[in-house]
Amino acid sequence: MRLSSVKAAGFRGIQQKIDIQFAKGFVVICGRNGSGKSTICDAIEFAICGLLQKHGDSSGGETISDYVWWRGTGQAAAKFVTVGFVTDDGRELSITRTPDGTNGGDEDALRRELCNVSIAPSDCLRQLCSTSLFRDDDITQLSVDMPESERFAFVKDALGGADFGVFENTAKRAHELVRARVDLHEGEYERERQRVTSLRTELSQASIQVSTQRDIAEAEESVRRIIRNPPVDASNLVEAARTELVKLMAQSGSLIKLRMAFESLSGRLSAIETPAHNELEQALSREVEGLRDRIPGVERRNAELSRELAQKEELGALYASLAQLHEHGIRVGLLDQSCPLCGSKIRNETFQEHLAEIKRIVEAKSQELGRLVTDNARANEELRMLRVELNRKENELKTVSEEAELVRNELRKTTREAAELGLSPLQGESLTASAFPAAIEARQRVLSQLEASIATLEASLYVERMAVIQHDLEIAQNKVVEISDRLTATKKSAERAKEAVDVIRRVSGEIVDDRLAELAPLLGELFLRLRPHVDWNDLSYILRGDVRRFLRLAVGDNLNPRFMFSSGQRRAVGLAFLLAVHMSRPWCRLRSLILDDPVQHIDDYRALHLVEVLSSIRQSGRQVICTVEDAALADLLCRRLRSSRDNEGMLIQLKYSVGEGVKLGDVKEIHTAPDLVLRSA
Amino acid sequence: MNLVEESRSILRKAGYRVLQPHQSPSVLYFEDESVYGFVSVFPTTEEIIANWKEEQDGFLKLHVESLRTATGKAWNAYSIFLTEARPSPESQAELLAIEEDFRGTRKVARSHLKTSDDVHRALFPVLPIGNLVTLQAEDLRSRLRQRLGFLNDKEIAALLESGDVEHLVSLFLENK
Repeated sequence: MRLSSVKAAGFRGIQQKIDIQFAKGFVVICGRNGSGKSTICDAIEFAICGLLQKHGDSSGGETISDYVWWRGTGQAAAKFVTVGFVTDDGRELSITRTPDGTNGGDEDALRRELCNVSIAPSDCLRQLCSTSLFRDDDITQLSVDMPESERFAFVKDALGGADFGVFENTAKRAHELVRARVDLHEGEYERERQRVTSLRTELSQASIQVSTQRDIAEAEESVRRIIRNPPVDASNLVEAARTELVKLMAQSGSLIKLRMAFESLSGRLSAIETPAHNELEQALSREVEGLRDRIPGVERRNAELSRELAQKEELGALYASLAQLHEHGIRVGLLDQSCPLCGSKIRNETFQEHLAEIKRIVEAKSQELGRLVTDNARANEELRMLRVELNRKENELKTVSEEAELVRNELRKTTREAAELGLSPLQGESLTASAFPAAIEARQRVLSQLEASIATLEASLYVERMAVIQHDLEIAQNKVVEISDRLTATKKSAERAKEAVDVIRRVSGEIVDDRLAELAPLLGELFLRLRPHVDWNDLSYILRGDVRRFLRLAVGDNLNPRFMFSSGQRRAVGLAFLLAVHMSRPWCRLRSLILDDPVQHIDDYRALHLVEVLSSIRQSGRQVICTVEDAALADLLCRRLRSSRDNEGMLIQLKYSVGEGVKLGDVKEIHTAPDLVLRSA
Repeated sequence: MNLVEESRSILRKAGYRVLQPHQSPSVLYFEDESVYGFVSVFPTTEEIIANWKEEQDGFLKLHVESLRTATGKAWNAYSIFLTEARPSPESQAELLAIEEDFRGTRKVARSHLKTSDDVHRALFPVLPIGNLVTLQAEDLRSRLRQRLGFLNDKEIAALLESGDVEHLVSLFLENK
């Protein structure tokens, strides 16, 4: 099967409809930059697989898909792209795509015609395009510059047949689920094992308890003696004994505390009931009486001083007037030999004497009043101090007098509490501290006896418990065996599932290995024909990795051409690789090779090699479609690509016209040249 | 090795008409419907370097009349110069220079040809692809099935046909 035609309108740079009928042998498409050469390749790719795989990255949120249909100025007559095919037996088919999707031809039918779907990769139409149509940019990107793991995947997908990804995923998922079951059983196994361990420990403890048991009847009798209203059955008796034990322990503790309190209070009372304490009380009593006696005398004297002071203060106004008169007399002096106060004629000496007398009287009375005030204040302070002292002594006397009674009251309370705990003195006698130790000791003995009895009774209960534990242990052990068997079986299932995953992966890798081995001679030949380097004439490959596979291309002594060769040389390596893959696909029925401007960055000598390689590929019966910019190179291709009577060639000129987009120029059929030119000399 | 005979054999197998010029036992002419040319065998590299131009021009001169009428392939002429001799590094470079000289015919100048394979490689520019392989469309699924022989038929069917993971798991767990 080969390509027979391309028709398009409103597609990429094609505004008006163009219709190109391809020659059977080869087609050389020539045109300047932007004339639409790559658009023809785009049309073929888009029609076959419904998308353009180039420019995979987005730019500013846009991708190549936003530019599939005409976006230039003016309206496109229509928007579609149709690619026609002709089968080896002459049947024609086509596929048309529009902006709305497929609109002519059946994609599934096309897939079945173009590919042997039983061995083709799952996305075979895309794979077909990526291994039939090589663009300038792809030649190194899809080959030499491609990461080794991606290169392996590219070859694996391109060669087809080993697409076991679905089986691998099914097996992997199954393995994961079986593994999850293994984990579940392991968890169950661990839990059951822990239960067995725990039961064994419990059984061992019960066994120890049972082995140390004493006379059960004696212990039961002892308990029944100690506690009031004992229950009839043994298990309730143990419970009641434990309750009693707690109660007795509390009482014992309380008795010990009471003993300590009693001893402390008794000591304090002994210290109070002594002669010295009585003497202190009496001395305090006397001091209180003495103070009480002194207070009335001081109060009387204080009252007298107050009265006297009041009287003196009444005369104070008179002495104040005298002081003012004295001041006035000194300040004014005699007025015309007369007293300024009374107007009487007086001599100055007499007047001065009168003034001095007034001064003396005023000063004497002032001193007397000052003494009275001081005395009165002292008397008041003395009275206040006496009252404070009296109060203090009265309180001290009260404390000393009441202390003994307080201690006696505390002792009485302690005695009552001791009685409540069963510690009572004999009739007519007082409780003494010496009664406590015996009582406490007796209580401890009861406690010990009760504890021992409880232990004995509990041990008797363990005999019954041991039988239960033994039974549970047997069940648990059987369960462990059962789970262990189940775990072993599930692990085997998981191993088989894992082995299935590994086998699928291994076989898939082996198939690619086998195919690469079959491909190697062709790869080597194409490399040698393209002759990118004068020294290194052999191109080989190296496969490595187990789970993740890597395919490395190598020249010379395992040298990586990616880092050894120039861009032109890398392109030659890339072409050898891609052409080898292209010619070896077992699943692809389309025998058309499309090259979009493959000679960029290649010198004339190596371009000639490429033309000869394409010629040799033509000889194998493949249709070659090649776009070039250089007219001379187009002519060379037309001459060397070997048209024949049944497989003519074609040279198509493309041009871009403003306002019209891509247009078809001259189309020239290239016929065979059967003339014989050689003759024997 | 007789390079002339080896070349004749290879070219004939490739579908070329091969002629032996009179009185030139070291030269062969070859032609098909697209290309034509000659193979000239020399004893040394130096002799190739010294005589290639004269040989090429003589060949073209000899066929100038017929080439005038066969314009379709007049430019598809090959001059192939071969020798068994090992070249010096300088001679090797000069052989390359001959090949890169695009005047007249397309030149192929190769030395140190010891085996039939060497001759085949030297003639690659005019030969069809020799190692063309179309990988066999073998039944890879049965190959996988065979390798999964440790699984039973039901498990293999669930894995490779139904793809029902739950069913496959139950089969794995059943088969203890």
